[in-house]
Amino acid sequence: MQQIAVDVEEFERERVPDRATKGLKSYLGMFAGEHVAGTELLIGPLFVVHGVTAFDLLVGLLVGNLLAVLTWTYVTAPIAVEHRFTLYFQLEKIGGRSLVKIYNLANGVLWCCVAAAMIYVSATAIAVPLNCTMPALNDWLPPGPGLTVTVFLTGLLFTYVAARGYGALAHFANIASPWMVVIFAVFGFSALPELGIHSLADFWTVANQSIWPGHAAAGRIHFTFWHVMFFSWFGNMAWHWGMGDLSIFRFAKKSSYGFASAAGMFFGHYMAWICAGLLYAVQVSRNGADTAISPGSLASGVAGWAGIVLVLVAGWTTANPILYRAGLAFQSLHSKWPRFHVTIAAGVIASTVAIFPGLCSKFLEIAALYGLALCPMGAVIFVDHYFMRKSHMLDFYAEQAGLTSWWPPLAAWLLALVACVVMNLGFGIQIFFLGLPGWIMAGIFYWIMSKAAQNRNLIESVHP
Amino acid sequence: MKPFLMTLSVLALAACLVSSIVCANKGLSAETNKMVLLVGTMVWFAVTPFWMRNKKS
Repeated sequence: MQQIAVDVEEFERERVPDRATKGLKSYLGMFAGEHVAGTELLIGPLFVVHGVTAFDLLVGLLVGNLLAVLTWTYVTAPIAVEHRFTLYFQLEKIGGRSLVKIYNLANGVLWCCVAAAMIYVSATAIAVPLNCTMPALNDWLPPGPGLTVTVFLTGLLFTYVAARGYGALAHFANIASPWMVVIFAVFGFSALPELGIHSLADFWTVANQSIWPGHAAAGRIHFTFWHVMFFSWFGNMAWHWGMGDLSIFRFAKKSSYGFASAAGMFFGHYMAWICAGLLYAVQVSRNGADTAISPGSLASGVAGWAGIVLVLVAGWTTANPILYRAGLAFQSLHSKWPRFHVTIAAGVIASTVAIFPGLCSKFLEIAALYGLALCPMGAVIFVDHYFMRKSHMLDFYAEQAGLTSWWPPLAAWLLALVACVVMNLGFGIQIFFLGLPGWIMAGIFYWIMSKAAQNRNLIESVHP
Repeated sequence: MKPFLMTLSVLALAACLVSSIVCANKGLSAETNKMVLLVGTMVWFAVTPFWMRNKKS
């Protein structure tokens, strides 16, 4: 998952000037640091739980992450570099301010869920020295008051820090980033001897027999190569197909800087997911009955206190900006609401959700839902950018028509989501595969509705 | 001073990485490895703030 840190002036309602653009190095560092987060410690083990095989995981992640990098480079970055606007400002030009408010509401709710997962991850680190009882793999309710109180208090602490503004913790996150990458690699190396791997030749045998044997846990979908590939491609769908990273790449000198996302994908979503899976395999090899996914216990098992610190830091440094952004998203609904209070409210909601371990054991589905729910807006931006003028229509229609609310983008978004629900419930298509059809449908719906609804006279006056 | 501190930070991370690789090859016990990781972590966080610039976020 991703957090946002832009070390420059914001230019929220204007085009980023050339003097403020950033070089490739900034993007490499940012992606490498920000995609090594607390949730990687949930995702790696969850692949094991879903019964993925070693080949499907290693190759599926390779292909999926490569596709994610290509999407950032050839879909997101070119639009960002051409306009140099934030996602929000571009949405406002297309659909009016009311569209941005609705988008922010959806974003805020989803961010609370993601922040809840981060809070839970960090709390499991605190729970290790406190000897709290941990939940079983498929538990939806907390196992006892110890973990409940730990999670809630951890959430409140994170919330208070986020409400105070995240400047100090952002600096701490920058400091921690290289260390986190190294400790994830350390997890992998430290797990190897416990799994009986002492040479490269051992790895493939043990990987197939003990680490990723391909048996899904009871009640879990069996993951294939396609699940892994699509999850790793769409895990950050809200940011590339969904255009969330317009806000980041608008500072890029060239759209080819999209390739910098490879640093995040292959450190965070390849190495870290594999190493987190190795940690889980160590736990199961020690006690076959212990199938709980508790990142704190997993990390402390192979790396001791350094592992505990990593889980705490990885969760905190990612939860903090997400809570802060959730507060800003909700505050945008009513500008007179104080950001401090709104962030506290968002944090309390996230902390309450985090109490329920079922959320984290279903994190793959939640991550897929997050991308699916927001990506249709990316399709709207894509179609607006590439097809409106070619189809003799107006781009940035709300701005050009002087509207505060323009319905085709919102209608396309909602219709695409309804179609995805129908495909899921009616035709049994799993959520992991719905992202791309949802995105394409949103684009088509937006084009058709714009064709039907745009004012011909206005089009003629702008493009005679 | 800054190059010295940077070197110290890099050495701390390198120690973590090397220790775990040696441990994987049975050249170091798991407990010693954990101790090296902890010390490396402490050195990293004690030293790095003095040379890593504060990015406005």
